[in-house]
Amino acid sequence: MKTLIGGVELFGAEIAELAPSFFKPFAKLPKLAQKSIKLSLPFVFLVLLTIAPLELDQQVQYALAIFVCISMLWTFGALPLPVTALLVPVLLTFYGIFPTDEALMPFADPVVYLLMGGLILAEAFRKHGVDRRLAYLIVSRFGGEVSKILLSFMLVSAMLSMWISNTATVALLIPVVLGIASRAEKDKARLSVLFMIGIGIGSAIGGMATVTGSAPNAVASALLAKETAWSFVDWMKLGLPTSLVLLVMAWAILQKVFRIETKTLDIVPIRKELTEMGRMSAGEKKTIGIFLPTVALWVVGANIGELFGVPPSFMSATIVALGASVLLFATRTLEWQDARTISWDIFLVIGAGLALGEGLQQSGAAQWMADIITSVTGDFHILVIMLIVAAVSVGLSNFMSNTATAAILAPVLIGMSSALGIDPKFLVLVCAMSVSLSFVTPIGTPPFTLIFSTGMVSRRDIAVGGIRVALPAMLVVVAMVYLMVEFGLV
Amino acid sequence: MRVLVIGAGRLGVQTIRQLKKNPDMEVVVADPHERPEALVEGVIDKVDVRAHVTALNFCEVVEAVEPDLVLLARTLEDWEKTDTPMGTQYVMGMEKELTRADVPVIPVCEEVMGTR
Repeated sequence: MKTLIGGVELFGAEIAELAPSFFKPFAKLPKLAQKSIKLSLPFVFLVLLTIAPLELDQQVQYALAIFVCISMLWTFGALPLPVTALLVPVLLTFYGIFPTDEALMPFADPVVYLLMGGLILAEAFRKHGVDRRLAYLIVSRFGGEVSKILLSFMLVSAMLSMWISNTATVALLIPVVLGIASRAEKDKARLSVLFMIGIGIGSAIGGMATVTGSAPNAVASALLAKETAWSFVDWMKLGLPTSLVLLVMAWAILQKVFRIETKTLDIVPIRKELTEMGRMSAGEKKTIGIFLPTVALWVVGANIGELFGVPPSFMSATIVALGASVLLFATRTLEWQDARTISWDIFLVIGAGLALGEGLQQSGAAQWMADIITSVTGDFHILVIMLIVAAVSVGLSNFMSNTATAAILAPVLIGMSSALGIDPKFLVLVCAMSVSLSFVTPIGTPPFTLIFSTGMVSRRDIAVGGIRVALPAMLVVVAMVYLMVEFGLV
Repeated sequence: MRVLVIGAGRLGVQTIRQLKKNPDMEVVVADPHERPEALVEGVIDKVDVRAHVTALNFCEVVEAVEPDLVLLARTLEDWEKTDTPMGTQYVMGMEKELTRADVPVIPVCEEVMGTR
């Protein structure tokens, strides 16, 4: 099974099993033919759209052609996601949308460095086993009831993925989950399915709580910050309560969907394991000693900065994250070698998403698309529009990268907001949060690719559990965003 | 002495070959595939345990086989995780979970076996 970042191989054998029948003849073609078509088709569209006699401003037409080409490449997965990302500034400069420096500027956006700092912190967690200790600690405290173990797994997964990548969280927790499920007298297989889907959904929900929680949040945050006052804390004000509501809801739903006869499990081995871990190592202490002040500064840094009269930028979330990263290396908590395991390619995808977004906005293409959509949806109530945006975001992100989906949709939604005369936060935040609800297919997001590839969780399990959670979750996201923005809470 | 080798792929072939140099050693092989590399290359006649051994079924496999020692001879390719983000960390975690069992479990290092 082939997967890319975000897990996409549209038209491949994977998708053919899920997709409508008109894709199936394509999947029967030889691999080389499939690859050639997937690679050439986006460029054919690029050329056709640039030379087509459309009654559009030339810049708008070029930007639209680039948008279609990049979207197709990201969707088909003909090239690795970061390679397609490198193509974005190439095309933007080739068609004269931006000069070189402006096309590359988004790759150095503060939010890129914020996420970098978050990933470096996460690596320290992983290296010193802080995440494992936290997982064992919480599970052992919750007792042996299956429903409580599920809740503890989902909670650990959500708490970790607020700060470290969702995939890393799930990769870490799968073996722990299987180890615990193996201690059941019966229902081992069903228990492992329940727990694994629980941690997958928990990680997705936890990732919605902070800007650093997942890359789509970072993309949306950066684009919003250019339009309106928007900060790390603003995101948490919305993300944290939304995540909590979704977590409890998902926990209740999963117990109903996957009914298990076994009610309790022996968690004595977990407690024994925790005891065997002994006291915290120096590395763990240093990691926590740097992590906790970092989180505190992310939340109240601006106030502290004001109090001591330091420049506001110094206490920005990005600079705090970079400061924490430097400290981790300076205190030898991490060696530079450790940082090599970080998925650096994600920064290219974020940069490309932002560059594409700015290209669409600057050229007027985003507004053009927004005007067309608005002409259809203009009379709808804002809640209906938000629901449509949520549904489109969930639908797309189950088949292509969450980051790419957010990067493609956010600029259009900003344009739509301007055409509708509404706060862009309504639509952009719904989109950014909804793309994280991509747990209906095994290819929606890498954590579910991992879960699926254990061989113990079927497509049907993921679809049944995922849909039952994703649909009401969409409504919760829309309601939370609407209430928080409408009442000026964010 | 009975040794359970988990994995009959590229690394499993090398491991089983070395073990078979000692005729007194009984080698039991576990692999999920119908025709793994060790079978194709004639290193083994059959796969003794047709299962993907993870923390979930490890105890059952060990109870059935009763080995004196377990060797984990699986590579990233055997796990089919080469393209998955965090695949390495996932495989390391899965293999580490097995080493918590009561029976001695030793992961075979790819570099030592010269398969890289």
